[in-house]
Amino acid sequence: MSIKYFSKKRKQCPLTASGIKKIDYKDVELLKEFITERGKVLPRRISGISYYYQKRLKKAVKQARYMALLPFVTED
Amino acid sequence: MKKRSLRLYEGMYIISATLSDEARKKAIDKITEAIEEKGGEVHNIIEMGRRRLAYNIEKKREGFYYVVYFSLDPELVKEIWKEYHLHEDLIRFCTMQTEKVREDLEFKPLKQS
Repeated sequence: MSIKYFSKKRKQCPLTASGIKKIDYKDVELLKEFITERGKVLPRRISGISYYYQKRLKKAVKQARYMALLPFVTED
Repeated sequence: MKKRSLRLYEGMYIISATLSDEARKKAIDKITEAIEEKGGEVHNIIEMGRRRLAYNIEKKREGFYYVVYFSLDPELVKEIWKEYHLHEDLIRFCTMQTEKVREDLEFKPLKQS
């Protein structure tokens, strides 16, 4: 009797797929894709970004927050 | 005597949106002149336009964004910061090291899968 495993589909990093080399804090449209409605950075297990880019994304989001391009917290 | 070397920087400035067009131009000129006075060089000024601030800064809701590319001696950057803190119309600023001068602020869109 053979055990059938679920075939796991490997998620590819959306940033590597689009060929983006550097994450710029001025690119607000891109950063907004990876933050929640309240302004938190999405975890990697949901967004599927590679570790390398997640580190850079984190820095870019923080820089954008300081320059008031992104909110620290969104009040509802 | 220490050798003076220039390094490329990118500065982002938020100027109060309550100013008139003339006063705003004067404010950004003050910034670029301060860089040139210190022996720096201004490469490019990009206007990002009026934007809503993500949160209120000094009770202001809107601001005019400018991105300035300049090269300056690393030791003199701290000195221009002192001037920025005295600048009343400048709501917020930041200077960062960069590698190249951007001509525009258009970015690659994310590929949708």
